[in-house]
Amino acid sequence: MSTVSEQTATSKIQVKELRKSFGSNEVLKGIDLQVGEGEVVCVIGPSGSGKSTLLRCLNKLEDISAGKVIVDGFDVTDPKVDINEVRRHVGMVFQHFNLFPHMSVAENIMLAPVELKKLNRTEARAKAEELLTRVGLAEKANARPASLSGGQKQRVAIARALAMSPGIMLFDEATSALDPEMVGEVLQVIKELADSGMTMVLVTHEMGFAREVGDRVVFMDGGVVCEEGKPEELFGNPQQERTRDFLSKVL
Amino acid sequence: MTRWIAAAAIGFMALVAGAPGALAQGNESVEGQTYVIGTDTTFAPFEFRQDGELTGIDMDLINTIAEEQGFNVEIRSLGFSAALQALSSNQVDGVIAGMSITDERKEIYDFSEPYFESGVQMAVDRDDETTKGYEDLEGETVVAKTGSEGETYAKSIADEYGFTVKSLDQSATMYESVKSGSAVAVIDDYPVLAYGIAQNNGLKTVTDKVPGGSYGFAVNKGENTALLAAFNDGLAELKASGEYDKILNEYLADPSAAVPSNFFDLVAKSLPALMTGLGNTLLVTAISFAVAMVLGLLFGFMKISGNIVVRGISTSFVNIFRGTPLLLWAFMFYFGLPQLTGWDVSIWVAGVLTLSLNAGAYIAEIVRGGIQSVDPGQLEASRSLGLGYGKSMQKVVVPQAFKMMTPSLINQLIIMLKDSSLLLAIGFAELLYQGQQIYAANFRVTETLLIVGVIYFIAIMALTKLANFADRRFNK
Ligand SMILES: Nc1ncnc2c1ncn2[C@@H]1O[C@H](COP(=O)(O)OP(=O)(O)OP(=O)(O)O)[C@@H](O)[C@H]1O
Ligand SMILES: [Mg+2]
Repeated sequence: MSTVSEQTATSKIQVKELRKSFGSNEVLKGIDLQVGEGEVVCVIGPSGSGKSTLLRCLNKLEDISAGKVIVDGFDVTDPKVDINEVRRHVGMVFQHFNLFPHMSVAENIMLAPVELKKLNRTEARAKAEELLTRVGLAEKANARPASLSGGQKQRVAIARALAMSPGIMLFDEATSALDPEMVGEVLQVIKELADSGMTMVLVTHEMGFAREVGDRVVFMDGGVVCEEGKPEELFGNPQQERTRDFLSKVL
Repeated sequence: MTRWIAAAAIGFMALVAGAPGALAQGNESVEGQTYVIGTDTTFAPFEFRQDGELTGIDMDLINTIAEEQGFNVEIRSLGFSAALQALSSNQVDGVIAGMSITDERKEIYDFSEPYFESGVQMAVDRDDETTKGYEDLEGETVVAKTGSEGETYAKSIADEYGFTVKSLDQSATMYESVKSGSAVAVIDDYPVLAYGIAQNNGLKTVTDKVPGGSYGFAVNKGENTALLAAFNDGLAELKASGEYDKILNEYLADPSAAVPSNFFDLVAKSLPALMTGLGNTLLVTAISFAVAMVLGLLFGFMKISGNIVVRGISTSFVNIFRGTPLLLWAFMFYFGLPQLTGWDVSIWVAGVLTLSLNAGAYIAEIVRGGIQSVDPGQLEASRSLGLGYGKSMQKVVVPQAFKMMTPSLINQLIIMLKDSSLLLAIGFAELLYQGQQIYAANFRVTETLLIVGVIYFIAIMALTKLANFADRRFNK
């Protein structure tokens, strides 16, 4: 287990010169990014700019072609690092929820703590119920995912990602697959998480939300970070032509 | 007289060979002696198995004569050529196997007086009132057994009477052809035909017997003279006492006198053997399916591997066993493998290998398809929680894949149960094989097959119900 020197200890995520190619197609062309403890970073940008790929590199769901990624003190690019260990510190929420359909809602949440021997079944069940209460779905513990609405599914997925008590949460367009009337309930849960001091990276199309919860907004285009800054600066006074261009289309 | 010369010759040879003890062979008395007698495996009505016991004309004759003459016999059911080989190498003392006495054989063996006069006869359907003799065969088809005396005779008169000879391999199929009307008559060896009719095969004879060969009991030339003499004496006494005719009538008498056994008698009589067969069918299917599941999972997972070599191995396995007939592998494992390796391959091993490798190839494809049909997001979600690849597969992907695979797997299990009948070709005693054994002895082909069919059907229905129940129970 390789931990890094103390000067970087305050930042939960450090990305340096990250490059990622699919075959000959280079999707990330040298990304630098820092996320501090308790910071909420929103990533925006046009479709295909590499937002999801960046997020997936952070917990190594994608192999990293070059550069360095340090998450919660672990060097993800070091082949000797136990990636499963790292992932227990990083929760991830997907656009399409990816709940396990053959398990009940509670079992979805209990799977990781029980299988990874963090908690016994009774403790895990109590934890699941606590998390479900937190996302407002206490009564759904024994339901099957198929019987839930989209918004409820995504809230369960968030509870599941929190089951291992991660220090970092990653969201990849958590509300994009939802009917408009359900977006609010999910954003509400994310906002409460942000307010609780969780370190988060959110890829989102919800500009208003990014402005509201983000400590910092990162605008990506063509595989590079084009511009970043505080929400009011980036949305109110974008410096780059491409940022202005993008914002004029989406706002 | 000849006996004396033979005995003297043996005595002389024994002296020359410096083994005076062999003179004991010249002893006239057979009383209390035990002789090993070789015979064929199945040649109804001379020797065949009924309820597991070897029975038939030969067996009744040799046992009655032995009792009469006060000696004991130990029967070895070896097969015709093997029995003769055993006789030549003195592993058995005599052979009784429905064997014709020929000049060639007389060179090597000493024969008893003929104990049976064979010949050729023609039979037609019991209800056929128009075919009364060879002259009614004009333009018709007649069946005969390949390589039999009956075939030779039928061909010799075919032109004269203007009929066509169709040669078939099995007595049972010949009789079925006549009963179904695809042939009008059968010309066959008299004892076989008479036995079939005695077993109620639905035919009747319409011509006189054309005399053919005579059958004899054989010992090695110049040896066991006392045994041979005792056989001849015993035979003469049986003929005189009428016991001989009684034995023959038991197997060859016209059934018009006998009460024809009905379908339910047949069911009752054949059920024990068929149940043994069903047991073997179910057991070989169960074992093979378990092995096939292991193979299928292994090769199925190898098929989705990122490693091109591993994938290649799996693809080759699947292609080889999907691309070749099952029966070929049955022969290969049972006959080929022992010759190639020198191992003793049991019929169960050969059977299980055949069925499981074949089904394993199909199950590998089912497994691959099942796993690939699970949304990749499921594996990602599990991995993102920190579960390893193996755990994620086990807890998240495979359970969902299995749910999708279950109908195909049940289907594969049923195909396998039916395919197991092909193993009869290597002599595996499964259900259909037992059925064949039964109708080879009683010639009631259609009824026996009907019973076998019903048993298969019930077994498969029960299995399907069970599997669907398990599916609902575990995959809800
Ligand atoms: N598994 C993959 N194999 C090949 N190319 C990929 C793969 N995943 C992503 N890409 C490519 O990488 C580029 C960036 O994709 P990415 O999903 O990161 O974009 P994004 O910014 O998340 O877009 P969106 O807003 O549409 O989700 C795209 O051109 C995409 O086609
Ligand atoms: Mg994306």
